[in-house]
Parts: sequence; structure tokens; C-alpha cells
Amino acid sequence: MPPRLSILSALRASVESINSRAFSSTAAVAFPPREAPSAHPHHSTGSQQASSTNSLLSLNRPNRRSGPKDRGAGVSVAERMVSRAKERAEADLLAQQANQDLRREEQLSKAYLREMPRFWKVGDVYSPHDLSPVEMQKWRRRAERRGDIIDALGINPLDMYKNFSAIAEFTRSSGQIMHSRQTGLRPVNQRKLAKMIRRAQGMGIYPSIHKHPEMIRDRFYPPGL
Amino acid sequence: MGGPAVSPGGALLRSSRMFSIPKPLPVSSSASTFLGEQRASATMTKAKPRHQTITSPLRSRQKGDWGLKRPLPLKTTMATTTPLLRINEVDTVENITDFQSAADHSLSLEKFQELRIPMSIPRRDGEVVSATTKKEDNLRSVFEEESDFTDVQDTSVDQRWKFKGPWLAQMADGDFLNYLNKKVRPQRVQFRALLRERLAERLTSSQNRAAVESGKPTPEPIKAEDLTEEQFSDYIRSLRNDRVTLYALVSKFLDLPPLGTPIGFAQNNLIFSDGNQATDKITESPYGKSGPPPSHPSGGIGYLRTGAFMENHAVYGPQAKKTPIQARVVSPRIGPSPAKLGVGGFVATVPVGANEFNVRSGSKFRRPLANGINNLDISTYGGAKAYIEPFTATVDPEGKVVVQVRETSPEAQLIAKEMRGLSSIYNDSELKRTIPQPEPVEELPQQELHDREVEGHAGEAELQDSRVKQVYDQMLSEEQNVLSNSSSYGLDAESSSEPPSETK
Repeated sequence: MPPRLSILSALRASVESINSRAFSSTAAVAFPPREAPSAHPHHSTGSQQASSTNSLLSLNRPNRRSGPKDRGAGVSVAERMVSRAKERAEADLLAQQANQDLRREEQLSKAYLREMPRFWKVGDVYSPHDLSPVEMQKWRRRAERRGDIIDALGINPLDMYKNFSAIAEFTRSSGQIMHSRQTGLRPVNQRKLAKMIRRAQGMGIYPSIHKHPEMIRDRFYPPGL
Repeated sequence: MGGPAVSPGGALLRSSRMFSIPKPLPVSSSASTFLGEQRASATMTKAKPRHQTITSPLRSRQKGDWGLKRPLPLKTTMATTTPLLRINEVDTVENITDFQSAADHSLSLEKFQELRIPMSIPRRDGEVVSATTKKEDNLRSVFEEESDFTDVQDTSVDQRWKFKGPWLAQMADGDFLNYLNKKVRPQRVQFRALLRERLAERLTSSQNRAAVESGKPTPEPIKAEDLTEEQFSDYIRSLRNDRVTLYALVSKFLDLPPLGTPIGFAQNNLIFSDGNQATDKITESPYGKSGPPPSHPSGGIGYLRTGAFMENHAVYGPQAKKTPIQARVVSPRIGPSPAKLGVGGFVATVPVGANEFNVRSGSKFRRPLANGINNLDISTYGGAKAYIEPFTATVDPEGKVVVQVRETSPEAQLIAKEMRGLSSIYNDSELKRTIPQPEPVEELPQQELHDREVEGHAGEAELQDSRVKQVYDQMLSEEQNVLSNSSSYGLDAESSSEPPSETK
């Protein structure tokens, strides 16, 4: 949607009549345009005002209408102001359109990338099969835990009672402690972890029937409102 | 050769596939491997093969004969253009042979060797390569005399890639604690004995020097047993403040992979040199920053020593640039991570510098980006591709092969396209000759390059520092408290957890 500049078009209507072509000697400008100049600046065709780039390119040309040569010859200040405003409006419009195109492309790209969830790392090897949709689907699922993460990190689960993200990792959305099949912990660590979660819930610092309030905050206070 | 003679039956068995297939390489047992992988696919092509690939001639294949215990089904092994298999298990409890196609790795190997790039040692820390300097100048082949090290027992070589100790920065925390408790702690007594020897040597040499200066006969050498506890604890205190010497001693004792040279190392070394070769030598290992590779630095994937050869075109003559490779843009730029290219099936980063693969804001030399770099290219059939020139490959600490690429010239691209019949530039009519003007060389901001190098290692350097300190503490702490220390039995965790349970 081009910007509707009411003042600009009003000004233009009054200026078109004074637009004295006799000052220019080039053929394109000497002849009157085939069609009446439209109300929207981006519809103006031909050599009159193609784009801001064109007007910049013709900066050094002697027949530039608003050049210093013409200044003394009676081109009104109003006309120069109008043409400048027109140029600026067109440039803005072009930039806006380019920006919109870019954003649309970005959105489309993002949508397709969601179907290709594999994050490629340097040194990965792929064969044609790895680029197939079947294989890509497998990268959406979370890999099951194959080792004991508590052993791997060398932490004591009993100390993690204030680490709510750690508790959330090992509890369901309604507060149950997950089975060792899902957590993948060895019995010793599973017992310690369960003890820690029971303590946190018993102390009342972590809910036992729903997620942590910070996690479901958006449901009650939507971020947009 | 020696060895007992085998019976004909035994010889037959030994020469059979069943017995000659080597055991698969072990899966890396380190915990850090699964900590990083949140999402993965079980059927993906692994970054490195574990199994040997076998094949069979057509006549045998038609009978299902792969030299194994039982014939393999024709339906799968004959209906393929790549009869390459990996045998997961020769015989399973279900009485079948567990096999799988090995075309992925075998063809990747073939494609890699078609790239004709040499394997090189990773660049040393702080070595900044700019687009203007020739990168080949800094490359050292892994097969050079001084670094092609295959004797694992020999620990005197400086450029080794194999060490008895682990690379501390790469270990997961749990692994590190295990290492401290199981490997480092039990060796404290030996290490203190070594320190005593060293102190005795130092004292002897200083007293000898004093005697020579004052013109007296050299006194009896001081023995390690004669040192007093006070002397020894003073020495340990001084060592604790001298990180360079202490690290040299501990890393030599535990045979740890080298660290990157600390800041001011060289200056300190010159000033406080005690004439000891072991500590004075600055570790020149290329694996200081990134860590040693798990295999020989060639990874066994390529055996070229150099890429310094010139290609000749049948019509155009010798070429300044190698034949460019068409790389697939496997992933566009996502946030801060640059776009990824697939070069012959190996994922690589885009070439460094001001080129069509990098988004550079506010640069004078802004060039239009290649397809699929900023956003996923959904219009090109088969995905976006770009011509690049791979020039070397290295093996990273995880054992992955990292292909390094740079941008190629438009002429080389044209010629490559002409070879494929996609363009036509050959013209044997008389041409008007012009003298080409030399192009101004684009200069690359050094800072950005350096940032790229550094960002990957900053976290590890800190980790390494803190861990090295912990190793020192373990090595130097008193051995008397070994038995009385409850933490050595893992009791600390339980005792600290007692008070809260009492309040229940």
C-alpha cells in the first residue's frame, strides 16, 4: 500500500500546470507524457521519476531539471520541494517493498527449515539417505537417554533441590517423578533424584500437581496483554 | 615366520571372511558424547565408520556367497548398484547374519579421495590465516617426518598425537572426577618421590657451583632421603607459585596432552630458566588448543602429502586454480552460526573472508550472497549449490574429518562448467589482445578472523585451567589423609544430606 500523501498530491495538482517543459531540451522531457501522471507516486512511469537511483545517477547531467542551472531561471521553490518529496517517498516505498520481500522469504525459509530439524555440524558425513524426509523426521524426536546423566555430570542430585529446571527435566507436567526407564539413571542415582524431588515438593518449593508456575505463567498472563 | 603350524581346517577357517573381519572399533565411551546429542537418528550416517566394509564378486554374489557362515539373501544384496556390506554380527541368536549396506562410508571415502586434498595438521594456536596469504604456506602434512608419529610407546617425541593421559578440557565433569579419584590420587606417592629427587638434584648442583666458585673440592651429593620435611614443603610451596614448571612436571608425569602456551610463558621461561631441558622446552604441539585427535591425524582417509600440484587443461593449459568442486549448501545461516556446505558428503564451513558466503555489514566489498546462504533456497531444483575449492582436511578431537575450503575464481568455475557442458567459452578465432590490469587485493579484517579462531576455544581454555589446578592440588596434597578422607569413599554426599532428613 503506497503512502497516501494528501498534501503532496494537492501540491502536485497545482504544480503540474506550472511544470514548464521549455527549460529542458531533451526529447523525453520536451514531449508531454502520453498518460496523465497518476496520483500514486510509484505509478509514474518513463523517464520522469523512475527511482531514487536514477535521479542520483543523473546528478551530474546538465539537463537535470532541478539542477543549479535551472535555479535562477524561475523554477519555483515549491516545485523543487515537491520533486524532492516525491523522490523520498518513492525510495521509502521501494525500501519497504524490499523489506517485505525479504521478510516473506525469511518466513518461508524458516517454515521449510522446520521440516529439516537436523543441525549440521562441521565434520558430519552424509549420504543421500540422510537428506531424505524419513531421516529428517527422526531428528525431530528427542533421543532417548542412553547413559546416566548424573554420573556424566558428576553432580550430587540431592544438592539440586533448588534447581527447578533440573526437577522439571525429571518430572511430568503434573508433578510425578519419571520412571528410571525414561530418566535412564542407574538405581542409586534414581533413588537420590526421587528423594530430592520428594523433598522439594514436600518443602513446598516445587508444585506436586502441575508444572512450575513460571512455566505456565503465560497461560494466565498472556505475554501480549 | 614363527608360530605353530595350523591344520588344514584351521588354515581354511583363518582365511575365511568369518574370522578375518576385524572387530568393530569401540564406540567412544566418554559421557560427553551423549551429553551433547539431544536429538539424533539411529540410522544416520555416522561421522566415522566402525566396521570394515566387505564386498564380493558378482559370480559369488549371485549365489549369495559372501564368504560368511551362511549365504546372504539375494533380494537385498543383488538389487543394488553398490554391493558393499558391513557385518554387524556374523551370527546372532536368531540364527541370522546381521548385515547392513556400507555404501555410505565406502562412497564417502571414494568421493573424498576424488577431491585430491592432503591431510594436514591443524593450525597452531594464534596462527591467523588471512585470505591474502597463501594457505599452503602454513600447512604441514601429517606425513611429514617430524609429526608422523606411529610408535605409541615412545613418549619423547614432541609432536605426538597419542598420549597416555586424557585431554582434560574435553572430559565431562563426571569423567574428570573419576580420573582424579582413580588415576591421579593413587600416584601421589610416586610423584612426591620424583619431586624429592628433583629437589636433591637442584640442591646438589647449587652446592657444587658454590664449591667451584670458592675453589673448594666438590662435596658429597645430597640424597633425596637426606632432605628435611621443611626443605621439601618449601620446595612444594615455591612450585605451587610456578605454574609453568609445575605443569611441565605434572604433564610429563601423567603424560597429559599439551596445553596451549600460556600468556607470558616464553618470557617467564627465559627469566626463570633453571637449565632443565624438560621444563624449558616450549611445547610446540599443534594439539595444544584443540586437543589431540583420537586416531592418527590423517584419519586413514587420505594419503596425499601435498596439494601443491598444478592442473593442466587440455586446451587452456596449466591452471592457476584447481578444478572447483560443486558443494551443496546443506544449511543456510542460522543465527550466529554460518552456513554449512556439503563437500563430497562432508559438512564444512563456508570459506572465511569477504566473499559470497559471508554476510558482512558495513563492508566496502559487499558482494551479493550466493544462493541459499541467507535463507533456504526453495526454488532451485535439488537445492542450492556453489563452486568452491577444498584445499586440505584435518581430523578434529572427535575424530571427524574437517574439510577446509576457500572460494575459487570465476574463471575456474566457468571452465568447470564447460567441462560439464553447462557453458561454452572456448573460442579459437583470432582475439584482440588486451593487457589485463592487476586487481587490487581485498584486505580482510584480521580481527574477525581471529575472533572466529578464538571463540571455539575460549570456554575450553578456562575449563582446562581450572582442571589443571585441581590436578596440581591432588598431586601435591598430603598423602596422610588418604585413609581418613571420607570423600574418597564417596561418603561426603551422604553425610551432607543427613541434616535435612532429620528435620522431617
